[in-house]
Amino acid sequence: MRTALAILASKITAAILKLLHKGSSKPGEVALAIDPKIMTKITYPKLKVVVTGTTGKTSIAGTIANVMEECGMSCAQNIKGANLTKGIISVLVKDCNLRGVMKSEALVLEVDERYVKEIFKYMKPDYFIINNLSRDQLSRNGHFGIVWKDIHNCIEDSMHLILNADDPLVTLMAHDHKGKTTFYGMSNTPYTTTKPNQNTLDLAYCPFCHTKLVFDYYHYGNLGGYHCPREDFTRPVPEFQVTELNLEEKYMVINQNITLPLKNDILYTAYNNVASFALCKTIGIEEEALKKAFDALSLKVQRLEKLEINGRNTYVLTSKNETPISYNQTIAYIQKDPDLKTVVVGFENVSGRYAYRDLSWLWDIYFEGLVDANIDKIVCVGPFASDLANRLYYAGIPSKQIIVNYPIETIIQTVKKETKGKVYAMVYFDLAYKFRDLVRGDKK
Amino acid sequence: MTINILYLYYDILNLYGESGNIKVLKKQLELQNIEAVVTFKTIGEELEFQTYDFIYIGSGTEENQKIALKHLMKYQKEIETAYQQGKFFLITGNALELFGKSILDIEGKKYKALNLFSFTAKQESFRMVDECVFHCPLFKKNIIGFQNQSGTMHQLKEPFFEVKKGIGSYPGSKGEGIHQNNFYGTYLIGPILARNPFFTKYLVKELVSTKDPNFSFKRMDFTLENRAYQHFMEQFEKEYLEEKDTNL
Repeated sequence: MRTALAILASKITAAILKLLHKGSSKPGEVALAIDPKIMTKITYPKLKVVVTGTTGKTSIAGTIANVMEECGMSCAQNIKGANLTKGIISVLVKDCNLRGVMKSEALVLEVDERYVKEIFKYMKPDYFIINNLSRDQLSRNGHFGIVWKDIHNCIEDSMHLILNADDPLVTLMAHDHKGKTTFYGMSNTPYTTTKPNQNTLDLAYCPFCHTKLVFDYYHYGNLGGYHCPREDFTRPVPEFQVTELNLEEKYMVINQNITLPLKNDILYTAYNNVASFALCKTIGIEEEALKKAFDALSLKVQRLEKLEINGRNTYVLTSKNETPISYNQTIAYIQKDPDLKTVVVGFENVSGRYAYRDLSWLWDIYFEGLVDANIDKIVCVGPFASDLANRLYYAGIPSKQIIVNYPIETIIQTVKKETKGKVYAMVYFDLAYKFRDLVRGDKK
Repeated sequence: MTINILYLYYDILNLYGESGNIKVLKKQLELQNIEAVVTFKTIGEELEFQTYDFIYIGSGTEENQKIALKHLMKYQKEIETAYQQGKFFLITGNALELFGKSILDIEGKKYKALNLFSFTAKQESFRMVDECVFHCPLFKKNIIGFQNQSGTMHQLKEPFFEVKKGIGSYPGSKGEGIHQNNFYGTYLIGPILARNPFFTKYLVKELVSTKDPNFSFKRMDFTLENRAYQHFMEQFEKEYLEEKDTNL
């Protein structure tokens, strides 16, 4: 009775929100308030997939869901980043009848790393994808060691793990797993390097004998080819490997014979694709059908956008605060462009979730990579512009290249008057949409 | 003049952007036309301390801290000697726990530590996280930073800082940090030198004057740090006053 009421109330809430053109986790909140045990009362679809990781969750879950639908499978999904408990419950309730039975054939969820242990209390997935793990939102997470333990402790042998072989923290998850594991990864590409960016690897030592891990190559961050000199711990050979990658022409090849398009020229997109491909192939979708589906893809959540300021190409690269790997990916992307450029960097709030204003994560970001990146100016914007400018200064950016411009409202004028070249806005979500609006407004 | 800096466990106690402390120190020394040589050493390597004027260790995961401790304990005597000689130590985050009598971990296992100071450290099952504003008798301005730890320090004699906001040595403690001889230790992350330019200035002056009491310093420019510091304090004071008002 209580469950039916919870579901009904939640569906009504969702309908009202839809009329008001608003989206939120309110339906989930309502359901949870009426029936705190709602997640245990639901009859889940036969196929349950959970995706987690520091980055890539939204893209991978979205790609998997889209591919499944292209291939004729009905799918309940929580894309658009609603990856905490309330958001997930909203999705479950939306898909089920008043008796709590979900109608879709598959459930694909992206789950925040810290919420995996919460969700897994009530729902054990058949397939569990872990894309990567690195330091992220340390004010709430403590450090990645804690996140790692939380996830590892709730893996069960019944779960088929789909793991990124290139991330040692991820492959470590499987060392005592008695169930099935499938690995995906990337071989050497033109974008592979032999040196890491900084000494901020999250796993630099063999977790078993504490000997320093040897990295034969790096793709980015802590990801690459690694082995312990004492052979205690080695990168596993992935079943699904990106064997060729061409970011300029936007395609990738898996296992030397499956060519997939890339929707943009950012390196990590290849990981998102191979992870999704690995899952879909493993659950039995035919290769031909998969290829067709990937070709037809379009993802609703985009992080890359192109605009113009005074005829200068402008790119908005949303980067996640407190997640050094996200900023580092953006910096690596900017570094690849040889042309003269101006970078705009900043945020309104440190976090969208809590009030803590820790800024130590700025010093784990490899801003040093911008020193030789043909930069005209770096404009720091938002209330923390001085902290950013300070960080850039100690990263080796010359003072005359650093501009402090607190108010977001004047950013376009500053960029027009005081800077040259293409414009890359490396900004957090809360400034990204404002920046875009200002650029569009300026054109009129 | 050359200042030799030893950055210990740079690749295993490397959380919270702590390497920023060394970046700041090195740059400020170079701006004084002093050569600052940073040597990176870590577990598995032989250590000696006599070559160095300044030793730095930063925050790490609890697990990595124990690995570093095991390595560092071999050099207990050398560290004591270096400390007595007046060499500079800046030890931040949970690296400070290495220098007490012992560390009690979350499972109840006790690790013997360097015993340079008589406090004991205990690791709790919960995290302690907060923005911090500490008063220090050496400075007019308050020290700002952040705490993010699972450890607490007990029986700390004569803490370096007075806690205005933050956790301190343990939740509710009034004091935090250690300053003895030229040893500076604190749980504060920030990095502390990046966020408190007056502390950086003080440390640079102390360090250099120890080697050359007649050194003539050029004016240090901390415009960016000062603006960042000001921005934080303005927010803090507003919130602090708001809180006071609501408590009336």
